[in-house]
Amino acid sequence: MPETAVVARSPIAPAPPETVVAGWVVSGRRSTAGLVLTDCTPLAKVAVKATPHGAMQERLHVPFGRAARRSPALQAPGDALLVIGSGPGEWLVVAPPGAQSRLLEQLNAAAAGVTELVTLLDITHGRALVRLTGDRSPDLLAKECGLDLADAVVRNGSALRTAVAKLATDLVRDDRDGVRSYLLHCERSSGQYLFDALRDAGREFGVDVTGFEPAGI
Amino acid sequence: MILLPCPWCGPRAADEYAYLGELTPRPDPQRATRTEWRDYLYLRANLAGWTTERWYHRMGCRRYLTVQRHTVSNDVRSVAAAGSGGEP
Amino acid sequence: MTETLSSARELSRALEAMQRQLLEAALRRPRYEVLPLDGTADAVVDHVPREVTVTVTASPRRGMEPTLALSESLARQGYRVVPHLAARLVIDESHLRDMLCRISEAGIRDIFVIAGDGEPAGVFPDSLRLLSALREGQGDGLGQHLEQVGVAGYPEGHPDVSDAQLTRALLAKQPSSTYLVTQLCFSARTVSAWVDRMRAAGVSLPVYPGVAGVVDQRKLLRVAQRIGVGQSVRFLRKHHGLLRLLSPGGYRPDGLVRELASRLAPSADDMAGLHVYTLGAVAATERWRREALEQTLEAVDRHRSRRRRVAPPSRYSALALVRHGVTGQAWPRAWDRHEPRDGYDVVIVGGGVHGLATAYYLATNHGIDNVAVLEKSYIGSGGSGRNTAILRSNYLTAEGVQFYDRSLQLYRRLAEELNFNVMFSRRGHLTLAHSDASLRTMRWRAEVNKLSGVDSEVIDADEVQRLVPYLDTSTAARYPILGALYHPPGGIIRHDAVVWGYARAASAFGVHVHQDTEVTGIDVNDGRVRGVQTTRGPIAAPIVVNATAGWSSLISAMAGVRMPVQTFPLQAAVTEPVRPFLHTVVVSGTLHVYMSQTARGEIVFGASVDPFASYSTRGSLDFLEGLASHVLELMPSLATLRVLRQWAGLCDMTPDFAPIMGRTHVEGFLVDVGWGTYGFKAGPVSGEAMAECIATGRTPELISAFGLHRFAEGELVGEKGAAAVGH
Ligand SMILES: Cc1cc2nc3c(=O)[nH]c(=O)nc-3n(C[C@H](O)[C@H](O)[C@H](O)COP(=O)(O)OP(=O)(O)OC[C@H]3O[C@@H](n4cnc5c(N)ncnc54)[C@H](O)[C@@H]3O)c2cc1C
Ligand SMILES: [Zn+2]
Repeated sequence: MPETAVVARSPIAPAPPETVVAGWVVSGRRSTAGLVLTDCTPLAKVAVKATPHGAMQERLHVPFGRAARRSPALQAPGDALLVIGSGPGEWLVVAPPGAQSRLLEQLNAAAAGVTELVTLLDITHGRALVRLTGDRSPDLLAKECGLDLADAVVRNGSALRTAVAKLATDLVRDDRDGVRSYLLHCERSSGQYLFDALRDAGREFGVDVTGFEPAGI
Repeated sequence: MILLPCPWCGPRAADEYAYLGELTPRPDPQRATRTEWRDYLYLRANLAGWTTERWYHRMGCRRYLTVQRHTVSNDVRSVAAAGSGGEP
Repeated sequence: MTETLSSARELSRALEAMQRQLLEAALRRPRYEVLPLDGTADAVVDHVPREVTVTVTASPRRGMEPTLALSESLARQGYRVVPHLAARLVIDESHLRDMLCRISEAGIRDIFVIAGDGEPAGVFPDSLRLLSALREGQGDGLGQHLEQVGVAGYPEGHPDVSDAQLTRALLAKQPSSTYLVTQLCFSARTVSAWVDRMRAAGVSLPVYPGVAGVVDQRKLLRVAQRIGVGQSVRFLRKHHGLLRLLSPGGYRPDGLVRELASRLAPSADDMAGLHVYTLGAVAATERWRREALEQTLEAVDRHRSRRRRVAPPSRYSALALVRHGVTGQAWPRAWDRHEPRDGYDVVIVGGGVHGLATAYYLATNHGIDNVAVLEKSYIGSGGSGRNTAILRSNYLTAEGVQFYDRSLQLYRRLAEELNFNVMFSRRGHLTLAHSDASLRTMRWRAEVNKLSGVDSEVIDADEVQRLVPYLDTSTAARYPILGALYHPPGGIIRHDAVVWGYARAASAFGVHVHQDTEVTGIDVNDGRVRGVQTTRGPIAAPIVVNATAGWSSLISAMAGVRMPVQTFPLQAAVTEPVRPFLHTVVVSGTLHVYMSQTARGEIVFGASVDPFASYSTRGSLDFLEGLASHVLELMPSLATLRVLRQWAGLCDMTPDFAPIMGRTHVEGFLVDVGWGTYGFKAGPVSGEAMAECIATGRTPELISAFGLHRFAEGELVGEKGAAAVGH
């Protein structure tokens, strides 16, 4: 039975048909294309700021430039967690929809006793998050991003912030089942633009849109 | 366009950064005369050669950097986190 | 024999040039004397542009208050105001102090001191007594803000005072005053004879001859009644010439003003400006002034073309083309090559349009031809040969509008003047509005422009579509076009031709243009410039002008002058030629792009400056990518057009997007820089103004807002909005 109580909308218009997942209006479309774009904005997102190489970094155990599926500071079952070292002394923690309060609690606990200034902020509704999956995703991104995305440079689990379609974007290489996949994270107000830009760029590679599924992240 | 090697992020195209201009010593606002303060606001050496300047990696690490760049060739000989020395 | 003849002819030509200049300057910025009546403020604001100084008389019947109130209100409106202080209306020193305080607070720096009519209301029976009080009070700050103090002169004598007494009084007032305004006068001969007498007697104050404006008699009578009959009768007695005012059809001062200029020409101080008694007819007087100014400018043109015939740069004509074609005979050099002299009267660094125009106007307008232009590469190798050649005058501030409008006027006549086809195409200039906010600013700009007589109008999207059919004016565009600021007199010009034309004409008038001559140092000693060091040896010069745009910080630094300039590259690109389809210049500030089609059919594109300061002129792919995407937003049908070339030039950007012109703290070292991305259109007017500044030693009003000292004083110019991307 589909949920009906709507609490939130992504800034990215859902491709029809619409459905509701965890209180979010999302696209119910399912695509089997080899290159797909998914609006993952419903995922819980918490920003952490602390001193680079400080005690908080030690507890999170994720350095700048890397993204990890687990962290000693956070308990999450299975694949349902991603801790992204998005900047020097900056992290983005991503978990299934609705998990933000649990995340904040755990992070708060992790920060206990840390003497440096630690800032925790729920940015779930302030940002947009898009996933691009498919072997040709580097080709698509090459049209919008100046970085060399070859394996030797940006291997799986790499996190970086750079310009994608002239937009400051967190770019995380996070392969799924051995298939190339990237998460792209930007300001909410630029979400639709980023999504459109990626879709435009991917047209020649047959990119398609597929709806958000809460399983995993 | 040129590449600037960010000490945090690695080499990135200059358009990822905001150029904030040559470093000018800031007089003490409590004690500076209006003229000194306006000199600080407006006057620039604008050298043709090696200059020390401030850049901000707005699309990357969002850190301020001290860059030594040759304004004729655009060669960059050093980039360091702002405040880590190398500033006049 | 022939030598004396030709030098006599030259002398008379120089004299003629001075007269015209005097006349032009006098008509451009006269003083209007107005009466402090109800409605005067409105009449002034409605009709009088801000470059006219307004002097406000004092009424014996109503006291000083109306004079002060009107002065304050006009000063608030941006006028340069001169209140008349009638000594007999001032009660005592504390009254004087109060009034000067108010005057100072209103930002007024100039007063005109007269005796005033009637019985003294207080302790000052005449102007001399008041001036003495001012002088004595100076120590404790009385009138300390005053820069100018004027006093009256009586060329036709005074009904109650003898000439000898008048002269003695003037001599006594001289130490505490700075200029003289003559009473209303109708004979230039009388004025000039009087000036001669005063000079002989030792009065050296600059003189503003007073003339009546355009007055119709009914209005005159009405004013006379309002002032009070008794006074107007005295007025009539004092000015017997006034009867001429009452002739049918009213009175026009044309002849008088021309004759004054011609009689007083040899010394600028003898006619420091014109003082016009408007006698209540402000609008008519202003109309007259505009006409007279226009006529004078035309006369200056004719004068210049006459001069050209005397020393003609070799003529390019269809006939010459055929002759050279048939005979295979080589064309003469357009400008001569010389060995540098040991010294010049003026050395100009930088062979762009600014340097060359300055040299040309020094030679033609001021007869100063011992001038060298030093260029490190070839002339026009800087911004002047790399710009996109857009000309327009629809700026935002009154200063900006007047300045650029004058430049357009000069450009319009340039081909004829230089006998060189500069291909000025007045095709209209469109600045697109993509938002309500920019539409609003444009309305404002259009209204400001109208005030200065500049043709500028906001048009809607349909009209835009009609003017430029290939623009995407659909509402589906990412940045829909809501309208535009349309400026019909704007257009494009062939930039190289302008540079070459000025160089050729300057050379014909004796200026040396030295290419491949780089300035490597500037000799300064005792705060004075002595000359320059160059790759071809030292050159002495008492005056050195920095006109090097992108390199100007480096040249100023050689003279020890620091500048608020940063050098940024600006790029441009051009496509393959196609058939003419784009008949106006199109600018989009929102999209940071502008375009025009050259006479050859290429589309020329420009954008905003590179994102960081540099002296490198390499183009970048980022620029081309950004440009292409923005151009296609505007005109999708250009997608198949190929870009042929791309290049960059150096722009000297200032904090307020306005130039830096005039003198510096190093005597003899002048700058004409800070032209950023918009200076080509200003070449002629800058050259003219810089030449005047050099020749007269005075900073012309037109450029007085652009001095280098404005940064230390915090008086930046508010032109950024209109100058930034508009070109
Ligand atoms: C791409 C581009 C587009 C533009 N578009 C427009 C436009 O559409 N409309 C507009 O009005 N303006 C435009 N501009 C601006 C305009 O080109 C400049 O403001 C103007 O040309 C400046 O003229 P100038 O004579 O002062 O300087 P320049 O023409 O730059 O001349 C300065 C000269 O000084 C010389 N020099 C430098 N150092 C030395 C030295 N040490 N010794 C001797 N010589 C030296 C240089 O070689 C150079 O020739 C544009 C500029 C660029 C780059
Ligand atoms: Zn960085």
